Amino acid sequence: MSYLDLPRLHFAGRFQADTSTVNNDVRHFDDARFVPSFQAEMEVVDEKIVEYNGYWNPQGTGAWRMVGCRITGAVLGTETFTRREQDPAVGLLLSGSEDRVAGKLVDLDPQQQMVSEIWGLAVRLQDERGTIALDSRFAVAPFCDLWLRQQQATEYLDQQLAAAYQSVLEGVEWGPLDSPVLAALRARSAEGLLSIRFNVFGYDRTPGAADYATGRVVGTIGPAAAAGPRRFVMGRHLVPALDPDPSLYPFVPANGVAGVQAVVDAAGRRVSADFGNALPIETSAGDFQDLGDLAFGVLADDQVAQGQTVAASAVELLGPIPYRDAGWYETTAGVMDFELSARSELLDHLAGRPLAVVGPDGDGYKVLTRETGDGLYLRADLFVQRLDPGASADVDLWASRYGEPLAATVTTAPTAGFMGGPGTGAKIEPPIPVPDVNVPADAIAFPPRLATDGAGHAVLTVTAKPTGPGCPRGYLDGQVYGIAYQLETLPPGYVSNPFDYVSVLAWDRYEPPEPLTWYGAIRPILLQYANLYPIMSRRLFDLADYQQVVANLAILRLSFSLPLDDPNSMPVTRDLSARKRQAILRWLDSTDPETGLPPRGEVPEAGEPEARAGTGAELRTATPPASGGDPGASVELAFNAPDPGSKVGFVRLAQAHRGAADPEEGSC
Amino acid sequence: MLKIDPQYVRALQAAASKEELQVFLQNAIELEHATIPPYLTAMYSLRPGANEEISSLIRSVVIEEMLHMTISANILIATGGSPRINDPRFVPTYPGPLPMGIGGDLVVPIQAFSKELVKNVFMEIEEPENPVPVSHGLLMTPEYVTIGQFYQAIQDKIRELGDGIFVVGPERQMLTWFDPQELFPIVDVESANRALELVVIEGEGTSSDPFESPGEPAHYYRFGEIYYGRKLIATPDGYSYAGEPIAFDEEGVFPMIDNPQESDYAPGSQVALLSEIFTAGYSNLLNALHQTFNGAPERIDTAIGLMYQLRLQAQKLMSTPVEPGSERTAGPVYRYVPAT
Repeated sequence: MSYLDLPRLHFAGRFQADTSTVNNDVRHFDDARFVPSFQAEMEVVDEKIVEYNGYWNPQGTGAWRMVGCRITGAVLGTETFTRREQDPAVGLLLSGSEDRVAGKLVDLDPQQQMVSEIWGLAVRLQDERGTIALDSRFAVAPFCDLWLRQQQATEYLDQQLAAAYQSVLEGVEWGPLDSPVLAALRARSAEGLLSIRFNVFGYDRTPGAADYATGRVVGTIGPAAAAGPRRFVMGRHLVPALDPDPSLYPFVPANGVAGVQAVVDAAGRRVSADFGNALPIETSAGDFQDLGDLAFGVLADDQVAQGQTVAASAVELLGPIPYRDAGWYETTAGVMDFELSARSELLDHLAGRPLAVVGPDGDGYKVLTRETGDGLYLRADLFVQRLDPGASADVDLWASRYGEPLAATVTTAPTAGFMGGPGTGAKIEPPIPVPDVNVPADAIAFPPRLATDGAGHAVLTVTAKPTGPGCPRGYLDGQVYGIAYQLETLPPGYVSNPFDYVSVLAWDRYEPPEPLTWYGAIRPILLQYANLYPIMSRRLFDLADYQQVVANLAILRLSFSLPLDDPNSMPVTRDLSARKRQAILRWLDSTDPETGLPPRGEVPEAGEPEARAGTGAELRTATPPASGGDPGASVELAFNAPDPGSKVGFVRLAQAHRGAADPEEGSC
Repeated sequence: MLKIDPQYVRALQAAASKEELQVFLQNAIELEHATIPPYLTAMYSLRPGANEEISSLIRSVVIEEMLHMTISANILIATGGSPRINDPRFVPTYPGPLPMGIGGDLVVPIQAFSKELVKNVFMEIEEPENPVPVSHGLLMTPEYVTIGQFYQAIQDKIRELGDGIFVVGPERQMLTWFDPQELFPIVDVESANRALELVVIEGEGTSSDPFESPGEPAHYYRFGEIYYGRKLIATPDGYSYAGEPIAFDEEGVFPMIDNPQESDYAPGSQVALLSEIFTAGYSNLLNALHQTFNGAPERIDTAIGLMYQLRLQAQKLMSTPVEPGSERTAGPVYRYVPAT
């Protein structure tokens, strides 16, 4: 059960993603070679970036919030509502957090910015008077189904890539609003749980633009089951073939239409499908590109390839996709129900034939995107993981065939996926090396084969070596790894989504030098984050300055000890392994008997200057001019954000291990 | 000299029950809060890295106003009352008067830092009943009912009503984040009045000593230090702003428009969005504080996080031109919106 089931609510509005961009380039993590210009605004001439510097938002806070979002439509049974008089849920404000800080957008790593997660987001429905109808927490999820959706740049740094977020709302509490839709939703859903998916598009990164750092969002909230996947629908999946042109791959579908997920409710004699992230738009306003008439249907033959035109008799149409109708997208988020009560034969066919989006072509139909070959589908639920040395993570995999659970063999393999590289096209002189990813291979372990059970479920356990990867990236903690997965047996020509792999950040082993002092252990950790988050250093306090740190002990204790998915948790805490966080907390709680403050230790002699780049208000423009890369490539990463993170399972750090130092092999 | 409308003090003196007293404790919370937006705005308007000493002086005053607000709330809670904070009426209109007619004709604006703002508004707000004569300082004759006297009347009423009005224990009071010497459980007349005494002394000092504690002048004199550009020191003749200089760099202030209003920002513009986000953040803070003072004191941690966020949001506004090409920048609008 998911947002594709009934009843459901649709919403539309804007979002702000105030991403910080100094950390978009992995080379900026090299403290020894960090220069002030890495925190400066980029330089642009004639709408071309001539100097990347700190890129397009070096002062970003990392905040992710809904802005001006409202419930725009609702579906209850066979009824559709778009006005408040029809159901009081329509028109409610959908806000992020009314009584806490905004959610945060968090990259896994500068070398894996393609799976940015939203952490600590609250989702609340309320009326103008503040009466709460529903309050909940969005369970951490990365974006998915990234593609080049926007055809024209409205501003020179428009982010033309779009994506979707799908997760569950947890801890759902219901208010007193007398809404039949909300009552039915509550009755249908597992206790305290709802399913949500929203599409984000039209995001503008152009400084000075009216919609700078904001984009558009349309989404759906529906019932959730306690069991089953949470970040995709256990159902039918249309996966587009991609344009193989290297300048476009893997962002452009070969036939103009991207992915769709759908469910067949045989008992309800209904097919529900989500076209919300499938159809291209012209500009950041979200106006659809006119692809002509489009329809959803069932192909008679599983052998039909995407892009192929078939006879009209080879497609049974479920119905048109009215994407050009005014208000359709805002009031439905692109989710449609196809009523089939009078079409028993079609319902039978649906059980074993592929769904497709088609458009008329001569006397027949062109297949623009279609369901996976033989209806086979396998996906990892939470495919972003952070691992401390010796720790394990369980990744849920779910297999299905034409939407039904499938017991099958799954194979896995290491992959670099689309990870690695510097992160931006900046030319940095003198050069700073860009680390390799995915090495050494043996720092994480996972089974090469596993089997899904009768529910289609398997658990892929990924374990990090107790000694960690051994600092393979030098100036940057840990290493990123990709794990590819697939069903062992697939039909020839099977089309899969190349973004479907598990991304793992394995932290390096860390043993702090004892005794724990500012200069000996803490400053070397915090310096990097003072460099990477100038908003913090310049406008709150400087994390690399002992005096400022000890003047803010209470707030630092709070920030470093909160659960990582608490939005008040400091961004940097998600950048740190558990051992480093523990060391910081232990130091914050320690006292030098002479000063009554955490111990300062000896100022290091050479190589670790007391003064450093990038603090204070004044920035010296340092690095010599260099010609920048081409931002127009648009294959710049999507909603890239500041906060690479740490392991999901939170340890109450205030009770951290305080045993004697025990340096081991692999500590760096 | 800031005067308070004597009707408030008369009504307070006539109060016959703790319920009637509670009205004035709520007034006290609103009064302590009312000074925070103008002080904070002036502090936020100092460019990062510039005017740091002035910033830290204002910050020290703001933190004490927050303490005073907390003390008033804890006393109200201890008497069984419920502070009302998440309410549009909780927030004064700026520019406008302080609650309870305090200050008479004084109009409190939302403005970027200037020495004139400090002298004409902040020192007016904080002026003691009997200022200690300070060279270059102001000296006025007391002829009005003052904020200090308002608190004195509350103390008298608490004494009159006695220990029996304290019916709610410390578990519902906010008792973290401040020095326990300054923020302690309110359990009886003695603890309540000791806390209120602190409010008066931190704000006004005593009639003979402008310092609330060694090295820390009361608010009025701290603003005096900023205005006169020197630390307050004891001299053979008394006190004088003749200590270490406190530098002011006029360039180190964001050129924020005066008394920003939402109507100053073009619909759909970046500043309109940033303003909306600030107002939502401020409203969220009031929500979190309301929860803090209504049975969930642990929510203060969340409120503190919101305060840091608010600072960043204010500075974003203050570094964004009010309209494209303008030399002036936008500023925060302090308004409570129940739903954002």
